[in-house]
Amino acid sequence: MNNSEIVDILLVEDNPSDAEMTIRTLRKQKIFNSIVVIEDGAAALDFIFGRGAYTGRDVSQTPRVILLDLKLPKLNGLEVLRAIKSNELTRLVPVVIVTSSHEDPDIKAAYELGVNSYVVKPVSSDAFIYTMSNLGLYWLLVNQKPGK
Amino acid sequence: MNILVVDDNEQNLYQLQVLLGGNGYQVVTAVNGADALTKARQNPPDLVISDILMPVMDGFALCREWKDDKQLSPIPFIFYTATYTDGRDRDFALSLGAERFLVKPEEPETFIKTIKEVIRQVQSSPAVLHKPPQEEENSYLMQYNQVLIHKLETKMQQLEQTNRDLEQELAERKQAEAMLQREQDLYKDLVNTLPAGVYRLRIRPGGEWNANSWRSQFESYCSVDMVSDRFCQITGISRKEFEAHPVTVFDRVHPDDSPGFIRKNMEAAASMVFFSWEGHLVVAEGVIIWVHFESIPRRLENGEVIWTGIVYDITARKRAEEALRESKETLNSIFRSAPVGICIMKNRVYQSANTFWCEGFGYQEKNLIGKTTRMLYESDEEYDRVGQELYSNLQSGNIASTEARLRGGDGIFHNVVLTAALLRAGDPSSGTVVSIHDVTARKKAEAEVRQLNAELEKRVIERTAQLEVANRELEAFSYSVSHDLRAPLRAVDGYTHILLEDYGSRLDDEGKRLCSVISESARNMGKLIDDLLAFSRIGRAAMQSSIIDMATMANSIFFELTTPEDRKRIDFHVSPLPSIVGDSTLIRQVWRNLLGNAVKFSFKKERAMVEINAEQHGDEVVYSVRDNGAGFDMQYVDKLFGVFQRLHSIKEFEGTGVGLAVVQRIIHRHGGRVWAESEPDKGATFYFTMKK
Repeated sequence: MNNSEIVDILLVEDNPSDAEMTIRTLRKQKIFNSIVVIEDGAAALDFIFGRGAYTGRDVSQTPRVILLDLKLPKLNGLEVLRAIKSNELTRLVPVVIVTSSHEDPDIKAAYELGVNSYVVKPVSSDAFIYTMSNLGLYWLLVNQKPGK
Repeated sequence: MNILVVDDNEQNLYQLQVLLGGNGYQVVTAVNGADALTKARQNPPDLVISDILMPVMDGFALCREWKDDKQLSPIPFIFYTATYTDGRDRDFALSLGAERFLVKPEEPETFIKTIKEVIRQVQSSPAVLHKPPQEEENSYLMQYNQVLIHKLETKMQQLEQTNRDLEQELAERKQAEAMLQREQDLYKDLVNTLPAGVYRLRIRPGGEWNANSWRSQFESYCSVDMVSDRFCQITGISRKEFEAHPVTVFDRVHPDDSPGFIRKNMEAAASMVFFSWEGHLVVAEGVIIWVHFESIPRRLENGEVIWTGIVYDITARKRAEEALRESKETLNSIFRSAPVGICIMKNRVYQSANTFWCEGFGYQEKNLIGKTTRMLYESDEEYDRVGQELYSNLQSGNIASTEARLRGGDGIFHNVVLTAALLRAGDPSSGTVVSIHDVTARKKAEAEVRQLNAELEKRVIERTAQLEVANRELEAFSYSVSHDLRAPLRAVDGYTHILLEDYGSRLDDEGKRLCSVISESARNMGKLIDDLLAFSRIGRAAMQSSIIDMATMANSIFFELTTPEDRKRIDFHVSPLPSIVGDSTLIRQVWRNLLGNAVKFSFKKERAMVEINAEQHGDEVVYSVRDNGAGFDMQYVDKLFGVFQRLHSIKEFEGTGVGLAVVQRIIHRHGGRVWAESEPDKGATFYFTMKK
């Protein structure tokens, strides 16, 4: 991994098939931004804050959007979210939780922590494709990021 | 010396005889003038004393004859009369030649003195023969007549006076008789009106009186002086019978009381003070009364004893006494045997305490009476406090109550509740009645209960915490399970899609069909997972209550579930539905499932009908959803509400078969029931009940 690489989309997802389908969908939508896939919560934070295995990464290079699953090994999504939103460096980065859970407590907790959006992963592939396409298009093209 | 005494009255002759004889004179008596002359001529006396009024020949005639008789005339003649007492009589008598004219009664001494004087006189100067001349004879006769007439007149006057006196006396006697009669009537009336029977018995002296002979002695020696009507009325003995056989009373005395009756009789006869007896009398067949006999004796000079007495009927009084005694006994036994401790106090000193109190506290009543209640209290403060609380409230005449600690007979203190009331409301001096409830056991029980409650609460809190933990764990478990289950499904469906997209050109129709089956299966599984999650959540989530407008909810859900085309095709009818209290999210689910089914299963009908009704039965409301759709065979009605139970194939109607199980679970959580009725192709009606 190139440490100075600009990462547009940080996809924190432990399920390989979900990750593959997400990437495939985005590409199909002609979204060719750089995508980094991290498989567990702790590693995600290491990457974001340039520590651990990712020591030396330029942390000022924040992603344009972080797609965050909730159920992750080591640290779960809400903990990652909390860490991101409580850090000056990363507070303003848009975080979209993409998860199977449509449990109200999770949704509420996420919003309380300052999540920018909460999306439920559909089971059916059609719906999945539809959702992820819209998601990508929106956050990368429609939504305006705050300037550095 | 003999004296001739002439008087027609035997008594007078006798008296003079005794007097003169006692003074040494010989006395010859004659009963009239003629008799005197005869006796005198035979044997001339030395002196003659004569009465005047005599039959045959009176004194005057005798004297005339006497003084005319040569032989007799010298003999001194003394008139001694009671009747001829007038002065004229005296003059006439003396003019006849009598020596003296004496009026009866003369003092004996004076009389004898006069006689002696006369005799001496005659002896010293012999009498002169006094021959009356012829005219003297006429004058004598005239005088004699006058005397006689005068005497007659006097006598007539006397007689008339006597007559008048007699008449007076008669009148007075008549008056007295009338008064006597009135008094007798009054007495009779009195006796007969008296509420008591009156009697008077007379016992002759003699006889052998003892307990065995009493009756026969009474029969022989007792008679009835008087008995009143009332006596007969009361005793039931007729007057005739009683007067003939007063002993009948004995026979009427009740056999039980008879010995006592006889004994009292004997005592009374011995003491001679009074007789008093109360007992039963059998006055008629089966009629027994209580009577009281009372009589007083009086012994007469001749040895007879008069018993004057009364009898009265005291049946009413005895019954009243009996009733009073019974009521007293009842009250007393209530007090004694009441199953609550009671004591009576005056100025906080024990007057009495009942059995329950004594046994409960371990005291003997006799050790309490007269003692102050202070001895049961631990301290003066406690004693004063109780006194304050109880007795100050009692001033206002109410019941007062307080708790206290009292020392029992064994020295152990008991917790009690004292309740006091004045014996006579409003009168503090009448004393107080206090009931005592030993609440030691109760207090102990209360403390135990409190402790148990606290423990129970603690346990409940613990258990609740445990359950909450379990719930949360289950929640987390099912959440993560569903999450983990969903991911592969997504993969299956997703990759199949990729397959179709990227390699679809290399697949024939069959190949494409196989792919669609894979996708479909994956989707179904996803739905199953959703339904299962929802189903399990229903059991765990806390219910929130609010008032639910069922009609509005049903209508809005129907709207959500149907397209405009559906609504044209379906005839939807909602009757007025009563509102109930429940969890609106869960009830929404119920309507969604039931109406969803109704819509789904009438999909094939051209003209579908869905109807919602409600009925009130007692304290619950029965809602019903009726459709005219496919219906089901009642044979399988028991399976209807099972989880994943389907009565139609997937080809006919889609669905996971969880919907009705969810409905049942929700309704059960609300305390209601669900059931259904149907006929194949005739539609189905689903019922559920909710509490009002």
